[in-house]
This record gives sequence, structure tokens and C-alpha cells, in this order.
Amino acid sequence: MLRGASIAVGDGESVGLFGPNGHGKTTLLRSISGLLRPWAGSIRFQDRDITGWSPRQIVEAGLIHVPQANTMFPRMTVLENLTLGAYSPRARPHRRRNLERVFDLFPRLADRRTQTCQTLSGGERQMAALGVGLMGEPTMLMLDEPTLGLAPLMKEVLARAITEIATSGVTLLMVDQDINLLLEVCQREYLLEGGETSLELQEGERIREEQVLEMYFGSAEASGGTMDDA
Amino acid sequence: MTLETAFAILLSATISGSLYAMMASGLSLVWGTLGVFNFAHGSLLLLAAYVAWTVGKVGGPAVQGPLAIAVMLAAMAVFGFLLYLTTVRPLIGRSNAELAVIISTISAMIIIRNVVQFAWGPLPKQVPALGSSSITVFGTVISSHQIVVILIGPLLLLGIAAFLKFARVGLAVRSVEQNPDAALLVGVNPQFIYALVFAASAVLAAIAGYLLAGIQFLTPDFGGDPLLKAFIVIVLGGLNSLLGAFVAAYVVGLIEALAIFFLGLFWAPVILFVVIIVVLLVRPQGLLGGAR
Repeated sequence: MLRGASIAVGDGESVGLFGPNGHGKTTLLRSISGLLRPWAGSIRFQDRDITGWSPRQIVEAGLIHVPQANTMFPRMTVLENLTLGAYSPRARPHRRRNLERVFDLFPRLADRRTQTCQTLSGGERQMAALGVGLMGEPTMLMLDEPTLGLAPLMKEVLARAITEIATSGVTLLMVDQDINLLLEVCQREYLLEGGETSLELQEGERIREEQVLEMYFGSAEASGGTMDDA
Repeated sequence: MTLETAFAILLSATISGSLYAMMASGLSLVWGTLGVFNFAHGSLLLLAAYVAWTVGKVGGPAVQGPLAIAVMLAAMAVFGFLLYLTTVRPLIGRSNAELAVIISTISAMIIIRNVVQFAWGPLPKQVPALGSSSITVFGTVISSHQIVVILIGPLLLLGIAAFLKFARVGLAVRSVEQNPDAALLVGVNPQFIYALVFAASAVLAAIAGYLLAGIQFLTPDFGGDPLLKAFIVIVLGGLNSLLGAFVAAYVVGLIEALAIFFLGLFWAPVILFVVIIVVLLVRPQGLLGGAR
């Protein structure tokens, strides 16, 4: 449930979105990509009001959502997954170029192109999911916890790839629980708490560790307040 | 058993198996993509055969054959789409869609059957067989129609498999089946895919109906047995496996042919169900159905 969540992402900017589980991060992304219809409020992309557009129209506009911890299409090969990433008329003409780009970014996917996605490791699945997103010729990419459950080393590989994608000019909105990762990859961050954006970190601003701990575990006062709300 | 008898049994098994594969493929495709059973699938065979008969009758000998088949296939594709619009589309997405579609497609089955009886009457009709020549192999006569049946089953299956594997829209069909949300996020329109799959399944049913009508007399009860066979085949083969349905079709054909030869016609269903019960006890997911 979202209420009073408001975020703005500039052209070419990378913005992070963090906050505890169940506080609306995924819901926000699903609303933007058209999987969910908001009851109120508006979503704008490149000076157009896209509120209520179908996912297909939103993909065609170049706003691509890579969903969370997702194996995409588990019983299809990596290559078939990537081919489907370029399903939209917008992306089809650039299929070959984008495929090369994905394989350059993730050489491991090139090695595993004939394997089905369900046989990949967690990190490789995330690479495949990111690759599917890139195949859609995105102007803006929304990533939902792209490093969830991965080992530190693999996390670093993905973080570098995501930074590279952002540097290439793709606008980025990235959801993660790992604040350090967001600080590394993104220029600005929002905190989403209880369905609201309750904090915005500008570039160079750092969040204190106590603030983070308080958010996840709550101080005595804060947890009392939550109980009252419930 | 002599070589001649063995060959005759195998031939009969192959002809039935090929027909069963055609009947089951459309049903399997709909189940795999939409997750619903189309109980009107048998009525599609029925309707297709009557349409073909009418086109042939109205057009006279000149229109028989290719043109009648083309008209019938086009008509059935449109009809399959309409069937989807009326019986499935309003219900899909609901929490009880699977059950609701059973009811709506059973209603469609009853309506189609009765409309056919009303429009064409209860008297048996005959759709001419494809060609009238025949060859004799090992003492068994094989008509040209039977040869067509034997060839078209595997060809259709190969065609469907290639479409699902290589065509852009074929990939989209599989994407909707495997992960509807992710399919939406790459820009696939599931409603279009569902409609397409239903139209395609109607065309597959039509081909089966036309070929079956060249072997059996056509009556308004024509669709019941094929529907049952198609169900048996896809349950035996494994619900989500097109290859499983293909293999199971020939297994069912072979069981029937053996049972008919050794025990007689009336024992065939008994033996068939016994074998299926045993197979499902050992492999509840069907012959080639894997865990999803």
C-alpha cells in the first residue's frame, strides 16, 4: 500500500530506493510499470502522463522494469529469454546490437546461452534478468533488488555492470535493501517507509548507521508508534 | 502372430495414434498456455466436419478437396476466436477461472451439438475420403486417406514444436505460460496470445475432425469420443508436455489395437483405462510430464 510516495528521477540520473521489507518498494515499481493500477496519484515519464497505461505501452515508451529475484522464463534458454527481451516493436530492430552488448557485459551469459534459466546460479539468473531488461532498448531501467541473496563477490560483479549501464546513459531507478550498494551505484537515494518517501539523500550525503538500524529494528519509541498505527 | 498380423496391428495403432495426436495437441496447447480445459474441443471437431461437408456439398465436386478444406480451416479459426471471446475471456483472471471455464465450455459443447443437430439433422453424413487409391503392404490395404492421416499427425506436431521454439510469437506463447508477469514486462499482450492459441487449437481440431470424418460417418454425436480420447492422451502424456501428448497418442492407439485384436472391440476401453490407472499410479505426472 502506497500513500504519499513521491519520487522524481532526472534524465540520465541513477536513483536508489531503499527501506524495510513490505513497505512498498516493489509495489511502487509495479505501479510505474503498469502491472498495478494506482487508485490515485499520477505517474509521468518524459513529459507524458503514463498513469493507467498498459505494461505493453510503457515498455514501448522505453521504461523497462526488471522484476525481483526473478528467473524470468525458467524453462527457456538464456538466448530465448534475451530474444523475448526484445519483443517490443521498439526493441526489435536493435536486437542484434543489444545482444552483443549484453554478452559483452556478462560473458558468462554468452557461455550459457543454450542452458535453460532454471539451471543457472542465482547470480547468473540476475545477469539474465538484467540482460532481458537491456534487450528492451531502455531509456530508463527499473531494477528490483538485483543483488538479493547473492554472495559479496557476485554482488560486486553486478554492481559494476549496473554502474556501467548507468554510465552508458540509461536512467536508473534501483531498489535494494543494501544501502551501501545504492550509495556506490546511485547519485541520490530515497527512503520508502510505510508507503511514504520519508527521507531523501542528496549526492554525497551519507546516512548514519544508527539511522539504518533504527529503521529496521526500531527504537523503543518508534516501535511503540507503529503498534498504535496498527 | 504372423508378420502380416503384426503389421496390421501396428498400422491400425499408427492411424489412431496420429488422429489422437491431432485431437490432443490443441487441447494441450490451450491447457499449457491458459491453464484451462476446453470441454468444447470435441465440438470443434464436430462443427469442422459439418462445415467441410456443407462446403463440399454446396460447391459440388469442383469445390471438394483443397478449397473446402481452406474454407473450413478459416471458418474454424474465426470460430475458435469467438469461442474464446464468449466462454473464456470474461472469466480468465478470476480466482475460480479454471472451474468457471469448465462450466462455460461444457455449455458451449452442448449448444454446438444441439445447433448442429438442428441445422444438419440427425442422419449420418459422409465426408469423402482424400483420394481413392490404395496400396497393399504385407497383405494389408492402406488407403490414400490413411496415408495422409499417418503423415499429418507427426507433421503438425513438428510444426507446432518449431513454432514454439523459433517463432517470435511462439516464444511469447511460452513466456505467458511460464511467467505471465515477466511476459507483460517485455511487452507481450497475453490477451492476444490467448486468442491466438484458441484459434490455433480450433484449426488443429478442424484438421482432426476433417480427417476423422473421412473414416467415420458424421453424426451430431461425433465429437464426444474424440474429446474423451484427447483427455486421456494429455493426462497420460503429462499435462504440460506436448511431446508427452504425442507419445501418449500412439501408446493409446497401440493399446487399443492390441486389445481389439486379442480380446475384441468391447474390451479395448477396459484395457485402456487399466493401463492408464497403472501408469498414473507409478507416474502421477504422466509419461513425460515433469515437475513445473
